[in-house]
Amino acid sequence: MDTFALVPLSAMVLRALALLIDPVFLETDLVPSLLSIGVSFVLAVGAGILMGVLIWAFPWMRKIFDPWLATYYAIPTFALYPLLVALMGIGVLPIVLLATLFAVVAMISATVDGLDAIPRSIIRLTAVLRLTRSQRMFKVLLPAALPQISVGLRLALSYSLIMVLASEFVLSTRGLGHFISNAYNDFAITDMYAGVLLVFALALGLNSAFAAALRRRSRRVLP
Amino acid sequence: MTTTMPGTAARPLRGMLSSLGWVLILPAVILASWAVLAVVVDSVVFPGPIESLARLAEDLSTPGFQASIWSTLRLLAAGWFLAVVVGTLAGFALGLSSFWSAIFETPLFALYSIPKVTLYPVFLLFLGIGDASRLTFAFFHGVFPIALMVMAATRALDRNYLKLAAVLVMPWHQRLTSILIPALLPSIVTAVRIAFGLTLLGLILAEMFSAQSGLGRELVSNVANVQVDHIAGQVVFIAVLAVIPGFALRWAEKRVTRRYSA
Repeated sequence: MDTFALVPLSAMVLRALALLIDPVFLETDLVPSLLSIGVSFVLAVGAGILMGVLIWAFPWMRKIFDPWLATYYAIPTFALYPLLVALMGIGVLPIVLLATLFAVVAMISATVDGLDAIPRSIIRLTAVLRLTRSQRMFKVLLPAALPQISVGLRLALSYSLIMVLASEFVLSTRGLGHFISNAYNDFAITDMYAGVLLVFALALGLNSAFAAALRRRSRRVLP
Repeated sequence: MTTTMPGTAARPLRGMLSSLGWVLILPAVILASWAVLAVVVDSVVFPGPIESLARLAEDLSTPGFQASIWSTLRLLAAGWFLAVVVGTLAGFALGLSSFWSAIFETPLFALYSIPKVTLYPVFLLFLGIGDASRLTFAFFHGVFPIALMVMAATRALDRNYLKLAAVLVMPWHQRLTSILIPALLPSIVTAVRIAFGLTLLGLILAEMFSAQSGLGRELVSNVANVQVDHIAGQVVFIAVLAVIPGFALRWAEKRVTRRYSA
């Protein structure tokens, strides 16, 4: 096998560990990526739950959005990225916007599914108890939809992570994704593998930590 | 099943037209707000929809862009086909044994949820810049959800049917048509639909990073020249190209689920 194309795993791990204590790498690559992921995740969750509630509440909105929710992920949303870069310039803004656009639809679908799965008797109960609109939403409907909503939260996290790294990788000046593509272009193969290793560790760590946190939380809410 | 048939047959055209109308509202709203925004902004770097579609028509008549369309479509079809065949067979084989499916479930799910684009340079290093690396990457991007979903469906299959088939000494094609296809087809069709989007996304990503041709390549080469009108037209073209099979697959999925769920 080609010794140039593949470096030993030990070299990848050592380089990855060295990167983790390198202040320049942390400042220009790791922190911007984490910030973009965090912001787009929060935006996607907020907008997704809001849209999901609206679609569930208004039949005409459901008729408009329902066919597109199921077809949305057939469209390669990433094709929008060059357009966003041409309009807004290279930076955090197009990356966060693209990642939000990609993650929000999973959140919308999960919210609608969760609200649809609530038994009719619970909804009648809210009318009997004469709950106000916000009480009904925050004390009954959203907690009842929590199992599906937490599936949506997990998807939204992994989708915003995927899109942030992809857009950094293809076209940007900083971020973990940019570090990898830059290392590839400079023939710094050890750096490239170290970056890939860090991305995988980050993705797996974030996803499983989040899944564990959600499991604990849902056990507390649902007896 | 038979009682619902006359109802669905009685409203074929009217129902289809009305659902098509509802489907078209969202794109119409997006196009209209794009047009309004372009008039309000009134800038050379923010073209309106009509201008962009005119540029798209120009692009469509150039041989270079036509070659890119064919190259993307060819690789998409091949990568998607490979992902479906390999994913279904692997998922089925793993799903038959609870030992092997328990071993492979976590790594398959992990590979599904990580950003695989960052691995693309590795594909380039081993396969070179060309159709081979793009095709392999598109396949790699789409295969995992199929394997996972078919594996889950195979594990959920009632083993007593298979035992009964063994007792009756059924030939393999009869086991396939009367047990396996009815049990697995709904999940396979859903997996095929999801894999379509992922394969196309992987292909476009790979083309944007490095390729000699392809629709992703065309988009990126326009960024360097700041030809926003060309980019916008091509984005619309890619979206239409993806939406048509997307809706067709969704329709097929609904039909298959309705037919086999009873």
